[in-house]
Amino acid sequence: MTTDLDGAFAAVAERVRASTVCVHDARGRGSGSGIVWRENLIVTNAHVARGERAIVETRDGRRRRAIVLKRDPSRDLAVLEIEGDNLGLAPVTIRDADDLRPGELVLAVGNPLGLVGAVSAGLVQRCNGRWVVADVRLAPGNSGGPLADAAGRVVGVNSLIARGLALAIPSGAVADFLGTLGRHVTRA
Amino acid sequence: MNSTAPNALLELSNDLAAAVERISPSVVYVDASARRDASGLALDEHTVVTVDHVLDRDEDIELILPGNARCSAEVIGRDPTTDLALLRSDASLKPALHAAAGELKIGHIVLAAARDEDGAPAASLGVLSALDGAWRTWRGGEIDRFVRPDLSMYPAFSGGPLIDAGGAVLGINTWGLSRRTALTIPLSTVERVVAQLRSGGIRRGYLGVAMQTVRIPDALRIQHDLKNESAVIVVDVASGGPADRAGVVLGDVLLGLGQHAIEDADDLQRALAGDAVGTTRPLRILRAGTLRELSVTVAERPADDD
Repeated sequence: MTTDLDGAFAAVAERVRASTVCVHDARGRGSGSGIVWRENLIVTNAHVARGERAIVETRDGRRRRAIVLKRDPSRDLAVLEIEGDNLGLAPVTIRDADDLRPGELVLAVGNPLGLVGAVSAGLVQRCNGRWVVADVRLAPGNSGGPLADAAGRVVGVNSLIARGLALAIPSGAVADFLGTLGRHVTRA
Repeated sequence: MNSTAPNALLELSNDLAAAVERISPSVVYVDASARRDASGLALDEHTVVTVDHVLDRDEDIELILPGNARCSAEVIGRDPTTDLALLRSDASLKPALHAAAGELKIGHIVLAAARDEDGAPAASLGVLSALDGAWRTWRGGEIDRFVRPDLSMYPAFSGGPLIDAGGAVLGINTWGLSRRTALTIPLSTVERVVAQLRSGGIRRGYLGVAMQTVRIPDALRIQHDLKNESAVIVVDVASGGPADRAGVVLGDVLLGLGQHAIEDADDLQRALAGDAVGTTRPLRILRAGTLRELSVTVAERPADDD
């Protein structure tokens, strides 16, 4: 059982890690995290992607320039499109955060304190529509990274630390934010 | 792995969420302080156990129930020594199911459950970090077992239950028994204290003395054939108190009360616990090197004497 659990945890963490990137500002400084929401489309926090451009770094060290397609500071969300050819990053599977039950296991992946693809785990405390509140240890650098359930499905975007608790923007709010974007974005 | 394929982690996650879901209807928010948030656990339809240190007042206590309904509650009894209190409400509560917990081991997964001021359930995850034998709180209460969970105890978690991964209640969490860490009052202690509070309160025996531990010199031990290696010396006698009336004077060394040997202050408190109140018992003392026996009638500790 222990082996099953450890194995399952590692497999789930690995899948979420594969869909998590590092997001730097246009000059390559500062860093937060980002989620491969769709092919070449990265969701992160507005406070991570402050300008019109950003640099996305994959976990194997590839760096690409990205354009900020849309930004909403009031909701602290931004979406970036990676320039150039397809990097072959695996998009995440999304789960509606409204279905979360208090007590479910969740894990956060990000780049806190200069670490790449660091994983922390904890418990859902509650979801109040505006936030998924989780008992998960976050640090600066986790901002913009995924909060995922025990199956690796992304339920939110880690955004804030409040009184030791992780606050993530629920997946539904991200869908609303992305709603006005075309499914295949073409820029000319 | 397919994203929705069942795995051991998902099973555990579902079990944990189910455990929280099972206990949540029995967990209430306790509004009895302007400064502290607290939770309580429904024991039966009208009774809630919570922790004593969060009760800043004995009246105008309100509970916030699942679904965010408010109702008033009154205090049935309080025991500051074990930090437990029992409340009564006219609202219909859903009592916690008493599933039998397995043997506790360090490393077991545990959950703390609570309710927020806004009526929402909350949970925190961790492991059993330390287990030890019976201990006495800084206020003299007897706790059957030392239980320390390693989990984040947020505001409002004091007074809420600690449960195992199957949802069985292990005890009541509190920040009131240690300045450094949250602890859990084990279920057996909760049940014992609740029974005492229901039957009219905890009666703590009282002699009316202050004391310090002293070593008994070998010569005295041999001379009087004493088993005690240490005893307590009386450094204050409350005027008119039971010890005063029995003839205890400053400087007397207390060796034993009834069947109990007294080697330190804890021993005397144990000798005064249980059904000691109202009984007259032999008090063995050393006075100026000679052995004497007095007869003392144990009184009930005055409420304001902590």
